[in-house]
Amino acid sequence: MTTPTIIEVDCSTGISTERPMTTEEIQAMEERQAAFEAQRAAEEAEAAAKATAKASAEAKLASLGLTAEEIAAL
Amino acid sequence: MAKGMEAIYSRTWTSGANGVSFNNIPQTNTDLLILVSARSSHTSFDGFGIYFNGSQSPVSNNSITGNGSSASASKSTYRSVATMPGNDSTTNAFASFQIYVPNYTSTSFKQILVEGVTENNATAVQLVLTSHLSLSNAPITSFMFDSATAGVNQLAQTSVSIYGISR
Repeated sequence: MTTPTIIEVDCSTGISTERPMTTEEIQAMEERQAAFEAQRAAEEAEAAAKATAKASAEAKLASLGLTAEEIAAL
Repeated sequence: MAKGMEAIYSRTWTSGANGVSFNNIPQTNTDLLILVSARSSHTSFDGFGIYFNGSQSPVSNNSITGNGSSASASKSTYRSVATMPGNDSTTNAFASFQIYVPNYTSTSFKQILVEGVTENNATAVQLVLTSHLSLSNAPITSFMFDSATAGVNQLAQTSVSIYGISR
């Protein structure tokens, strides 16, 4: 597997350096990626649960006799 | 500092990298304007991730997205703020991002505006408008961008221009 690389730019000098990531940087990148995946999965699950609850609530309101327009107006 | 815009840094890289970091950002301007052209080596559309001062959290994003066939809105707390084309997009098509960071030297939270659009000679494109709230009081002295979704290499010919704006 190719070692990941990083480009570092020093904005005070304009000098950029491209180099292989260190072991610590690779580990930090993998941790960021894992945290990203965990956050994304949690937020997508929360959004899906909310959508399911909304659909369920709308179905219950409809069964009580509310029209779609009345439900949308709530 | 005279009012107006000054170039801080601009470059196009001939080789790709898994991340590009910008350090020692001058603290002499009011706002930062960052213009990026980037493409991912991921198999399909990839998230464009940006984080400031070495930390991807805590942040709060609100995004509206159009993808060529539908529109949506979403909230998130991770670093992906826009979309890059991947290997299934038109060859040599890049995404363009404009990132505006008002009051980047302040000791308050930073409300950052990101506009991004992918280039693709097909119906499937991604237009994203994101408000990215960095919940940190620290002045921004560095930032890094990378592939947020896939953690892969950004391809060669990625280009970045950074401008400082004084007002």
